[in-house]
Amino acid sequence: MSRYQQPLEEGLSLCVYNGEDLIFTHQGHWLHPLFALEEFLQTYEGPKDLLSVHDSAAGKAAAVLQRRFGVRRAHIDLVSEPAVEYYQAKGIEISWEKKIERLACQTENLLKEIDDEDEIYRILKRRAKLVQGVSVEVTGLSFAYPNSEPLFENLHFSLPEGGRLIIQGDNGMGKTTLINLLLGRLIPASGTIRIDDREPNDLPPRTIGYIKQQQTQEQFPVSAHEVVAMAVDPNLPRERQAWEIDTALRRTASAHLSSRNFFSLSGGERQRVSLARTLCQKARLLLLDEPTSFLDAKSRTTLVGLLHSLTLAEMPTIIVVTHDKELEEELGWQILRLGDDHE
Amino acid sequence: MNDFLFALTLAPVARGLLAMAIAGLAFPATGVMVLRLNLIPMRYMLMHGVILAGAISLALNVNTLAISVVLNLILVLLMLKLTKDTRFGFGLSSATAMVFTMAAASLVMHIWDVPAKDTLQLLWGSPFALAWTDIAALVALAIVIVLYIFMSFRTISAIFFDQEIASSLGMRVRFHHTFMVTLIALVIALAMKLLGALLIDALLILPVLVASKRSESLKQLMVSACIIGLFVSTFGYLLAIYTDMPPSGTIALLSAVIYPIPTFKKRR
Repeated sequence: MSRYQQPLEEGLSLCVYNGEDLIFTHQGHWLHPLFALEEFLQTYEGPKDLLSVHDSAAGKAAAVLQRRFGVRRAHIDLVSEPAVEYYQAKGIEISWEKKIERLACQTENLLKEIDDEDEIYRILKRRAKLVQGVSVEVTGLSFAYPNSEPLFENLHFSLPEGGRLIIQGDNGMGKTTLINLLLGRLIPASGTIRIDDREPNDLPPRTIGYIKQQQTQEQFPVSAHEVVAMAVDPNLPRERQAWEIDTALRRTASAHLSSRNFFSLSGGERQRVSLARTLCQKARLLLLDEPTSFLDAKSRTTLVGLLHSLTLAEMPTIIVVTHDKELEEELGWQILRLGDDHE
Repeated sequence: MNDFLFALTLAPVARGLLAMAIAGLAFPATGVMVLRLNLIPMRYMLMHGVILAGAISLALNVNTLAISVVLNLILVLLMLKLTKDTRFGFGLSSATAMVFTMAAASLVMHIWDVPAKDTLQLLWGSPFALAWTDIAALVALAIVIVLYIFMSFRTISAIFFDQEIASSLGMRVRFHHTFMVTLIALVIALAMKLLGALLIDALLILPVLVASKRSESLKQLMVSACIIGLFVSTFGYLLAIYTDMPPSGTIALLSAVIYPIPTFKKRR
């Protein structure tokens, strides 16, 4: 019997080994020990080539998370059949003390019909309240500029924390106006906008990260580093601020652009730096206005990849406003078409 | 050469050199604000404001600098109010205020019988005519500029980058905009006395334009513009003393000569 299969010590609910070396323990309940393991592994610098877990209980949710974190062997005290099927299908060495048909918990039922592992991960993070995003609730929204026809009437949509939405519409349909309403810069004619259950103008500063449509004609010396640095929390200690800026630039593969003038960068590079700015800001709602304008195919792919990784890591709520139909297919998110009946 | 060295020992010349060094080092930083906030029309308006101040000070026989400072501040506040409460943009508000100040200056000159020639002396300025109170005001303003930029660099860079984004970051854009416009008003009131209305750009704008040819960041731009400003103002001033030419014209000419010198940017 390997060390990871030996009985859990009193009070512990999760023990993690690399080979025979114990590297992590946790006493929590539900999936919290596994999310704590994820955080631990992000900074753990020792070997993790043969991760083995001993968990007190595991359903499909735990199995998905363990595989995501690189677990190769699992010993579970109380395991469900869907979990065993999943472990075996993914080639994870599995053993258990007791197997039951299903765990008697809501999470197990919720995941019954879902196979997309990224989607499962997002659901679990949302249920664990580990999502950076805020909820957005738009109800009966109408807006018209003076002496003009209404741009939209009785618009409804809602997004949960960490939700993703593409607002699609041709030019002149009010996409940018809707962004300005969400930013609190315009007042609706009727209806309400609630972000994290507050009016947009009542939100704490830095809640909304806004990436504008790229401007091409600007010429002014401001470095990529300065653009990212302007978003960092000024209350953090100086070393922490530097770390946040550096991390944000590295996350978006733009550290090498740091000393270059933002306005001399290509469209794709500017989008990466802008995303780094919102990461540094720790924006909880990300608004992107026509993010693919002026982007070549390679930059588009990079942008889509970055947005995808954001939806799995920090999970801010993201609203993309675009008339680019290809982007809809590439992202595969929920779509709201301006001009349709939104009742 | 001996005459040149002797001239430097004279109190008005030495005061002038000190003033040019301080102004050259600090004022280009506000030139960055003028260019980035698109305040060129406002700068013209403030220059006209100083001419009105000159007319008033000659008519009432009071200190020109004090009247210029007060009048420029009033004009800036008036313009901000006009821009906020009407559909006038900043440019149109500046043009309105510019016409108003020149009209008012001509009326003051007519009513109080102020010689136009004396008022228009302000167009040329003279660093030799500075009193110690002027130097003290210059030092105080330079300290305020440096401290403000040092303490609010993040906010300033965000406002220069994009005011909407600065606002979404929770920054007090309107407050900082007003503060920067006020600084510019004070700088112009003081710079008028040094270089005069016509050549003020030599100290405010040209160093920034020269620096912007090579700068990749706002920090680099600010530092380079101030170093170039310091060089142009002190070297130009010394050159003027050496050649017995007017300082304002020599400094402006030096700035204009430096601007077209080609710079070499790294190819990427």
